Amino acid sequence: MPPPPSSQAGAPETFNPAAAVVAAVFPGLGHFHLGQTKRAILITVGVMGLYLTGIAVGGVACVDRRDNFIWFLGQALVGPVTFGLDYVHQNKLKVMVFDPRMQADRLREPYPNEARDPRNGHAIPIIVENGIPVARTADKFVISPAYPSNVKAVPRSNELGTLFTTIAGFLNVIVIIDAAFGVRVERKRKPIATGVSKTLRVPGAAGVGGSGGGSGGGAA
Amino acid sequence: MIALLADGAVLPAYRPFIDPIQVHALWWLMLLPLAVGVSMVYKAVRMRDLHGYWLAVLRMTVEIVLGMGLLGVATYLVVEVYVRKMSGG
Repeated sequence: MPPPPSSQAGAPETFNPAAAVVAAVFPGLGHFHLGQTKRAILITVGVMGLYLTGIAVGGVACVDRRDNFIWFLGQALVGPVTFGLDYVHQNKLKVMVFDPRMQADRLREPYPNEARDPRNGHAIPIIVENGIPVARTADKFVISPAYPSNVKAVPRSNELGTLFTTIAGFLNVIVIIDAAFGVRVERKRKPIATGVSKTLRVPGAAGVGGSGGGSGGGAA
Repeated sequence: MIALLADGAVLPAYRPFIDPIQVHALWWLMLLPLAVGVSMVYKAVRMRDLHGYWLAVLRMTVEIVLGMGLLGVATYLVVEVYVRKMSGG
């Protein structure tokens, strides 16, 4: 029989909705709430490390609820940080263009020769004047130097970034479930020989985990 | 710093977390950070106590990388050897 995940043998696992909620807000916060600080730090570094590596490799365009909705569902499992990133991507980086087929404005990634009008998000073509890229709107608004607001990744970088961020989301589901059924640890309280609370978890402490003394801590 | 391309496209300097990085040729190297991240989270959740955590992470990372490598070799053999042989090529 496999050992119970991140819980001390003999200690009852109780459902802890508060830990689940804070774990869903930010990776690792649920275990911090449970008093498992070291485990929380490792989880935060692991999940957010994967997530940020994905964004660094594929760029912010990896998170896109409009053009990549199925993957966005997996990325959203990381928490509100994904929604914030998508908000920035949609509202601060994409450009607004008129779609003649739909007879309406729509958002899309800027082309490499387009800048974004910071006032209304419309796409402005970039022209090069004296070696400097410049964007001019019809109402004489000038952006100089002008760059595309972001660059859509070449396929492989985009795929890798999307994969990293989505796997981070799936791993966070495991973390949330573990936090929801985790065992609370009381912080800054030394274990005493008798009268140890059933919900008290002291990792690696002899006698509490039923390891029969000694310092041998078992790995998973 | 910017780069002006022949077709008028403008490439600004790399902006971290906004622009992608070019990993086109070395995409397979990304398996390593992926395996490390997965191992870190899995072992952090799964281990009863965290003694020997990094050793367990290293072991799982190696297992993932070797496993994926073996899967790649197996897929190569199926596609390049078995399928060719079956098709008479």
